[in-house]
Amino acid sequence: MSLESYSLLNCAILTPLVFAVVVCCLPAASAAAIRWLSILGSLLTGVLSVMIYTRFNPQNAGFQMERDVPWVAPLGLSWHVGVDGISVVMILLTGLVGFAATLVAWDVTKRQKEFYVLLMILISGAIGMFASLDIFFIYFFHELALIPTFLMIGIWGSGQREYAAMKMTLYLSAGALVALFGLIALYVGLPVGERTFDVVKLVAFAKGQPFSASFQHLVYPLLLFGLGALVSLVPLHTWAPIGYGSAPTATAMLHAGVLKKFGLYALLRIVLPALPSGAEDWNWLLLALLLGNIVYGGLVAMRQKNFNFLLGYSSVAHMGFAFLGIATFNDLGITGAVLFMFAHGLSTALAFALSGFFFAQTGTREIPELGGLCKRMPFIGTAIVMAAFASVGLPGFANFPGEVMVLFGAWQVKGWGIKAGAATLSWPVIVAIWGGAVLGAVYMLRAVRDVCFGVLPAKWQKLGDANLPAKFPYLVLLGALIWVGVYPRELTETIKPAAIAVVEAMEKTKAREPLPPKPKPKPTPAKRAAKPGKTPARPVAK
Amino acid sequence: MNLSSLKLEMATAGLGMLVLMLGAFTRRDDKRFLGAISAIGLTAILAWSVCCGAVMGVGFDGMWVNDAMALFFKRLFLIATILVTVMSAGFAGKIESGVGEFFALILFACTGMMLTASVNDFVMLFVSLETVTITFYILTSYLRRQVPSLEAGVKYLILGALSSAFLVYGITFIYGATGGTSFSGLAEFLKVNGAGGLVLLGVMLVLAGLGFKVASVPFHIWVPDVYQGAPTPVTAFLAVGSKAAGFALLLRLLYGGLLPMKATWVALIAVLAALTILYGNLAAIPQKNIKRLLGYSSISHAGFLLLGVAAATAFGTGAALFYLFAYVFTNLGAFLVIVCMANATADDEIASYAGLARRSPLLAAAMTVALVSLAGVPPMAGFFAKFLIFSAVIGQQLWWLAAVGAVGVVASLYYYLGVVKAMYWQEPRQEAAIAVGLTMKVALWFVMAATLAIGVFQGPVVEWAFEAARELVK
Repeated sequence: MSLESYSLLNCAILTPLVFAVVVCCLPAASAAAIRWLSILGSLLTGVLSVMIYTRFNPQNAGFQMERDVPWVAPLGLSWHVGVDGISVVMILLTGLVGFAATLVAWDVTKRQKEFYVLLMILISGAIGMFASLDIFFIYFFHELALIPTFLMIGIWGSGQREYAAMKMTLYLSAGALVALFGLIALYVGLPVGERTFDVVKLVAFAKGQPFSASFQHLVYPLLLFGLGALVSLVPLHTWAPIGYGSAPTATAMLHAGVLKKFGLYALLRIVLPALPSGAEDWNWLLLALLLGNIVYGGLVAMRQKNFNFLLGYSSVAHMGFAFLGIATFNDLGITGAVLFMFAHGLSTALAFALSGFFFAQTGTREIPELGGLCKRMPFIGTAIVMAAFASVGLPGFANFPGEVMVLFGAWQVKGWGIKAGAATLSWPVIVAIWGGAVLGAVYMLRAVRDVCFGVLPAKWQKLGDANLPAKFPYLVLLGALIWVGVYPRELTETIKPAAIAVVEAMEKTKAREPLPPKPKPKPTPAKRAAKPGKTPARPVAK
Repeated sequence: MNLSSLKLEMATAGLGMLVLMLGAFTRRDDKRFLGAISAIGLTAILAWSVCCGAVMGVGFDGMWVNDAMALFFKRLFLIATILVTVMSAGFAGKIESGVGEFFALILFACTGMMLTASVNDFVMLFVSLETVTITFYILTSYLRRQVPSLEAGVKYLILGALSSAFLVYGITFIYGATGGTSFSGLAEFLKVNGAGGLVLLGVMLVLAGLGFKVASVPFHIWVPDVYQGAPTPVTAFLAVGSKAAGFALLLRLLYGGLLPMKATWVALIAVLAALTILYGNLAAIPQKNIKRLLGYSSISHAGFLLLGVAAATAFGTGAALFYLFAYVFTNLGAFLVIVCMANATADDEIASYAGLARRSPLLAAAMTVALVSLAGVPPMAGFFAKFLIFSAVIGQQLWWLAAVGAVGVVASLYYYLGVVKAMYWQEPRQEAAIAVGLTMKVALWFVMAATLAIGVFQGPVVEWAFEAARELVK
C-alpha cells in the first residue's frame, strides 16, 4: 500500500466539498454545467469509495488506511481517519447512493446551484462521519448535514414542507445534542491526563480500565435515546415519515439511505465497545422499543395512503431489525445488522428514487390516485416491484441475508429463549418475523398492486417511461442489491472481523464490579450524579 | 510598572482624540473617511499588541494587572471595534450630524473596555465600567430625531444609572468592611472572616451591577428595547463589546477578590445561567423584529457564557473565552447584514427579510452563517464554542445545567431557523436586488470566513484562550 492509498479517505471526504466550492463559484444561470460538474463530483466520490472498498484487506484486523493528525492537541482532539469492515461497507453505500441521488436530481428545476452545493455537502458529511475515528469529527460530520437538509426540504420539498423541515431539524438536533452529552461524558469520564476524543485510544484505554458500572448505567441511556432519535427509534420516530414524505427525492434518498444509519453506526463504533455493561443493563428497554419499531411501524405503515409516508414508516419498521441485530451483542447479529444497514440503504434509496420519478410526472404520491403505472412505465413499474421485493426481504436481494443473519443471531441469545417442549423458541425472533415479514409483505405488496397494476386512470395515459440515461441510477442501485443478495459473502467476509472485534471489545470493557444496589427511595440517575460523593468516577488502576 | 503598561489604552484614546480633531476639519460628505482612519488605526494598535507584546505584571499599587487574559480581552475588544467602525462607516449615511464624534465615542468606549480587562481594584472597576457606560448613553440615543433611539437612550440611561448605583453602593460596603478597595484585600478578608454580613451584601450588589452589563436574568430588562432602538452599530457594540467587558470584570472579580467564596458564587452563577438561558431563548421565539430577536438571543448567550463560568475550572473559563471570541465574529456578522438591510429596506422587521436569498445571495448567506453559528451547528465557530462549554459543564457533573442548555439550544434553533426560512423560501415583498457596497462586502466575507475558520481550525484560538484561562484560574 503506497502513500496515496493512505489518503484515499481524505480524498473521498474532500472531493465533494471541493466540487461544492467550485459549483458555488459558477454563475447560477449555467444550470447544465452545474449539474454535470456535480455528477462528476459524486461519480468521483463513488469511484473513490469503491477504491477504498477494493483496497481494504478483510484479512487484516483493525483499522486500515489510517491517518492521524493532531487537531487541537490540548484537548486530545485529532483528525483521525481510518476504516474497518463496518465503516468500509458504509462508505461504499454512501458512494453508491450519493452518485445515484445526484443523478436523479434532474427533477430539481429551480435554484439548481444551491441544491447541488447542499447535496455535495451532504455527501461529504456522510463520508466523513464513517471515515472518522475521532468522536468529535464523527459528530461534526453528521451535524454538517443538519442545515442542508433543513434548507433542501424547505426550498425544494413538497406538501407540508415548512412543518416537516422544522420538525425534522428540531428532532434531529435535540437527539444529536443528547447523544453529544453522552459522548462528552465518555471524554470527561477518562482521567485528566488520558482524555482523548480518539475512539481507538478511548476503547483501548477502557479495555485496561473499564468505566465503572454506575457510569455505564448512567451514560448509556443518553446515547441510546440520543442516537435512537436519529434512527427513528420508537417513540422518537415521528419526524421520519413526514420528513421523507416532504423532502426532495435526492435528499430523501441520502437521508433515509445513509445519514439515518449514523445512530446505528455510532452505537457499534463507540457505544457498545465502551459501555457494554450499560448496554446490557438497558437491553430490555432497547428490545421493547425496537419491537415497537417493527410492529408499530409496520401497523402504521399499513394505514398509509401516501407512498412516501409508507416508505417512511416501513423504514421505521426496518430500523427495528437493524437494532435487533445490534441488541444481540454477538458477531452473527452484528454482521447481519451491518449487512442489513447496507441493503436497506440501497433499497430505500431505490424506492424513494422511483417514487420521485413518477411524482415528477403525476404530481401526486397518493396511492388511491395512482394505478396501472406499469402500463405506461414498464421499467419504473418493474423496478418498483423489485424494490418492494427487496424491502419485504425476498431471497435474491441483499435485505434477505441481512435479515436472516439478524434473526439467527437473535435466536442464539440465551436470555430471549422460551421453552416449548424440546425446542427453545426465541420470542423476539417470532415477534420480529411476524411484524417484519408478514406486515411488511402486506403493506408493500398492497402498495405495489395499487400503484403499478390495476386500472390506469384516464388522466395519466400520457405518462412516459425512463429513457436509457435516466434508467442508470436505478440500475446501479438494483445491481448492487442483487449482487449482494446473490453473493452476500462478499460483504459478510469484510464485516465479520470488525463485528468480532466489537464483541471482543465488549468482553474486555465490561465493568469489573457489579452495579451498586439501588438505595431507597430510588433517586433519579441525574441526582445520583450530582452528589459529589457518588460521582461516577472511574476506578483507580491497581 | 510604569505608564508603558497602559500603552495600548493610551494609543486607542489618542486615536479617538485624533479622530475627534480630524472630524472638525472634514467636510460633511467625507465623514466616512474618519471610519477608515479609526479602523486602520485600531488595526495598527492590534498589530502592535501582537508584535511588541505588552508589559506584563501587576502595577499601580495592585490596581492594574496585565496578564494573558488581559491581553486576550484587549485584542478581542480591538477586533470587535475594528468591525464596528467598518459597520458604522456603512451606517454613517443615517447619522444626521456629529459623525466624527460618533467614531470618537466608539474609540473611547473601546478604551474603556480595554481598561476593564486589566482591572484589579474596585475603584478601577467602577472607573473603567463608567467609561464604557457613559459613552454608550450618548451612542444609544445618537439618532436624536428618531423616537425609538431616544427612548432607547433614556431607558439605557435610567437602568444603567441604577446599575451603577448598585455597583457603587456595593463597593462602599466592601470598603467599609475591608478598609480597602483592592481585590486582593477582599480576598484576604474573606479568607480570614468568611463571607457574611455587610461584605456579602456589598459583593451581591456589585455582582448585580455586573449582571446588568452582561445582561443576565434578572438584570436583563433593558436589553430588548435598547437593542431595538439604538443605532445598529451601537447595538452590535453593546452586544459584543459591552457584554465582553462585563465578563472580563466578572472573571477578574470572581477569581481575584471572591476566590475564597467560590462555592457560593458557583451555585449563584449556575442558577443565574440556567434562568438566563431559559428566559433568553424562550422570549426570543415570538419576536418579529430582528434587532429585538438578537437582543433576546444575546441574553441567552450571556447564559451560555455563564455556564462556562459556573463550571469554575480552567477548562470552563477557557471555554467561555473561546465562546466570546466566536461570538464576536458571529454576532457582528449578523449585525453587518442588518446594517446593509436597513439601508435598503428602512426597517428591521423579520418579514422584510423574506426572499432575501433572491435579492442578495451574499447577505442571505452571511446571515445564515451567522445565525447557524449562533445556534451552534457545525461547522461554524459557535458549534465548537458550545461544544467546549458543554464539555466543561458535564466535566463538573452539572447534568441539570447541561439539560437546561440543551433546551436552550433546541429552542434557539427554532427561532434562528425561522429567519433562515424567511430568507430562503418565503416570497419577497419586492424583487429589487439589494446593492452592497465594496467595504461591506469585504467585511461580510471576512466575518464569514472567520466564523468558518474558527469553527474548523479551532487549535490556535483554543490554545490562546486556554492559556489565558490557566493563568487566571490557577
